[in-house]
Amino acid sequence: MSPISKAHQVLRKPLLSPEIPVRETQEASLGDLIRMVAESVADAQGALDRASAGLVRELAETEVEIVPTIREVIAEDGGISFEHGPLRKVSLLDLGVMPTFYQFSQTVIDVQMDLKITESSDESGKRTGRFALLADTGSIRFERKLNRDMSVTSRVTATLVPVPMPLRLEPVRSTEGSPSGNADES
Amino acid sequence: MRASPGGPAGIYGKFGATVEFQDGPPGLFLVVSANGDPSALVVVHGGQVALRLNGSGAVVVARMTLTQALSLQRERGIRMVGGIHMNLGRYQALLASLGAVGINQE
Repeated sequence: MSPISKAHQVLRKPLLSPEIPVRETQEASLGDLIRMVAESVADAQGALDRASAGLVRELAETEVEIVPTIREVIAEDGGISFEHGPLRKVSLLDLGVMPTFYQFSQTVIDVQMDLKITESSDESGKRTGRFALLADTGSIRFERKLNRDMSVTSRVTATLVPVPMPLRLEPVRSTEGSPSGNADES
Repeated sequence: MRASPGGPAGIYGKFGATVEFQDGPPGLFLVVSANGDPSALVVVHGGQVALRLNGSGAVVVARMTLTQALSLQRERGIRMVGGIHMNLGRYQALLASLGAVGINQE
């Protein structure tokens, strides 16, 4: 069985490793903030999908032996005997075991922030007339520290639901005769 | 389930947030261990081993919740944990192709 890359795991390496030193940005464009939040959800969804897709390979490589048929034979004297068909080695994927895919059906992100409108200026200090809407979460956190107000916290609520396997990922099963006469399962 | 520093879900509190899970119903998960039988770890995280799949015992099917599976995934020695389900249509098609007759195709 081949080793599975970290990208296929349910939980993978963080986007920003805790070992990397960071400095807090006091403010950011509201548009960028919303985009980063949305990208975070999309990235988490992508990681879930990659993990489930990687599971297809694991299921294809894990083989089990099954008894495909049991024949019940009733003799003239009424005695019953059982004849097992020959053991067949099949993969879990052949057997019909499929990966479960999960989807964020609902994600509610509640971010506490200050909004301010700024106007950029040129090198001489002259106002350019270009306005921007900036989000500032640092001052909110500072206020929380001073006032010990725990109501000003950010909150993320996500609902994960299992969904059907994407059609393009599901292996197509077909049966055809090989030249030697043995059925070829795929 | 509420994350607690001492419990298996304590990992979720590392970045300073309080994380709460509402567990859904248990499902089946394929658990692949890098070395040895993962059954003990499955039980420690609240799951049940439903099926052992190969001779080495490194692959099992466990019945557990998604929260328990995510917690188990963090264990050293666990290579992969992934949700699975049985596609009965494919199962019946396989048995039919192997010679089983009288399979209910509904």
